[in-house]
Amino acid sequence: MKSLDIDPRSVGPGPVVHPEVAPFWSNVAAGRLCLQVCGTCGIVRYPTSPICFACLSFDWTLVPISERGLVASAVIVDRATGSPEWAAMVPYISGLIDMDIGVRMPGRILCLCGEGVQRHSVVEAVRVASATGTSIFAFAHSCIGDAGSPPTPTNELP
Amino acid sequence: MGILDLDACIVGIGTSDSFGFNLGKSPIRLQSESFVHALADAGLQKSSIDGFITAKGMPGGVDYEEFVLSLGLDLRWATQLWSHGRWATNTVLEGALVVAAGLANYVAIANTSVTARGYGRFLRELGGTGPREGLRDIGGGHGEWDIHGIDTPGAATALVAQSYMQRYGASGHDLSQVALAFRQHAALNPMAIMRDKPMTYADYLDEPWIVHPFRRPDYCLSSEGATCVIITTLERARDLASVPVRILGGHGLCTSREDYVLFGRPGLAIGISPEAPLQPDPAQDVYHQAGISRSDIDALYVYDSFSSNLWMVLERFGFCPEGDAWRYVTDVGVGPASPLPVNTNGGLLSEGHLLGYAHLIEMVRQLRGEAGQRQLPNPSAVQWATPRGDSIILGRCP
Repeated sequence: MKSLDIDPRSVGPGPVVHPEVAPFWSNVAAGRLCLQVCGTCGIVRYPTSPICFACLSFDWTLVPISERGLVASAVIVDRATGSPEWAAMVPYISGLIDMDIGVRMPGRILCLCGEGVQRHSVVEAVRVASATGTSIFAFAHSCIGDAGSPPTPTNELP
Repeated sequence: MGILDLDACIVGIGTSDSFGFNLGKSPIRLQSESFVHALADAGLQKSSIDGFITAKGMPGGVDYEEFVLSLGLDLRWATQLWSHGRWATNTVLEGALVVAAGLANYVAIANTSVTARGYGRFLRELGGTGPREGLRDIGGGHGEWDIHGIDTPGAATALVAQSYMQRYGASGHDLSQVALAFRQHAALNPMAIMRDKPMTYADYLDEPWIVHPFRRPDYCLSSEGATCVIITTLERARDLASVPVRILGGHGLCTSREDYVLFGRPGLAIGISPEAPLQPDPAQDVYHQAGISRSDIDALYVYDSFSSNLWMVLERFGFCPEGDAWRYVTDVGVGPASPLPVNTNGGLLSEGHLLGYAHLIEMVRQLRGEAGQRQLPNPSAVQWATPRGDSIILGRCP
């Protein structure tokens, strides 16, 4: 995953990292988007879980997946009332992404041109910072550009 | 007669003296008002109540111990569910099952909401704001993901509405028709918080965006108030002062990995669930249970935490084909003049957020003929339904 050094004003809350999910987040920190694959039936799953929802096996490994996906649904948040971090960075886009591997994942969509809110837009997973210091994944529309180029603050979103 | 044939009816209904944004009363005070009014409505003494069920209201609510001690109750059945608005069906159906099975004679179901800006500000040390379920590994039940900016049920349900509108072609004008219709109903309900706030489409457009496509009127009110419903058997009901209302049919909350987001609908591809055509839904068993058909329903009551919930219910329960509910709401309408009025109390959008129980109370009032200015002409069966698939059909006793 590319790493985006997003504006410090645009950093959201971090995940609750506990020992059983820590490997997922340490992969994200290392720039790898890896999902659990069941060691028994081979199904790929998200979100992280200690047991396979299909065959109830406790065996799993983390494998890298394609970082490309299509927007399934996305919204522009104009007022965020749940946490102060998000309230401070409206408006922003967040949504649900159908990853190429066939799993749907949630994520903030970094986009300046507005196309990232459209259904079936192509986005790519990127690594961003969170307020707790844990790196998390988000998704970037092609208008954001190459790794390392800081996006304009999200309050300039059209 | 349907196949449910449950020996249970609602004999008492009560609410806090008023609903509002900041009533200046504690949850236990509000819930006590609703309980006293429900007892009086049924013509019962408190010593008769031997069962109590609550989902503890929002955000802190009243737990069963606080209620028993404060009101001096002597119970042999008490249940407390997760503090959420999703339990109106389950609590009422459990009450019905409990009295039908003889595990208690009279079950009271009471729930209270206060707000963080209202009385909740005095109760923060009691954990009043509730857990942040959107931080769980699996995210929140409404489809919240706090770390990704979908940090409230409203933002999560905006994804539902957006997905529906993009897939089926509904516009912002179509969405507005839900809130506008419920506001018309509220004008006829003296308890409705928004009764004196008529709203035109132009007014709606003046309201701010919260999360696109939702403007402020697409959100339920964040309000304070309490409700109480008392349930007993048909035989006991005949000895009471009130006109009993029969629980004709019921269906529980549906949930699965393919359909777990509370205000979505199967096949809409919300949360981690896949996209699929809408299939005939098991929730429609509720009509079979009640021994009536969908066309016998005189009014519909929908858990309208957000306006798009109505589209979900109309399609899930078969009132409209897949993708057609928005057209029905725009063309036929669900306001006071509709052939199928929806939420004649004004709903969570315009009466107040009473977790769905105020809808059930309104259904009882309509069936008894006690709904005043908004009384429907002689209804015989009315339905409560949610996007989650849970439902109750109430009817007049034979």
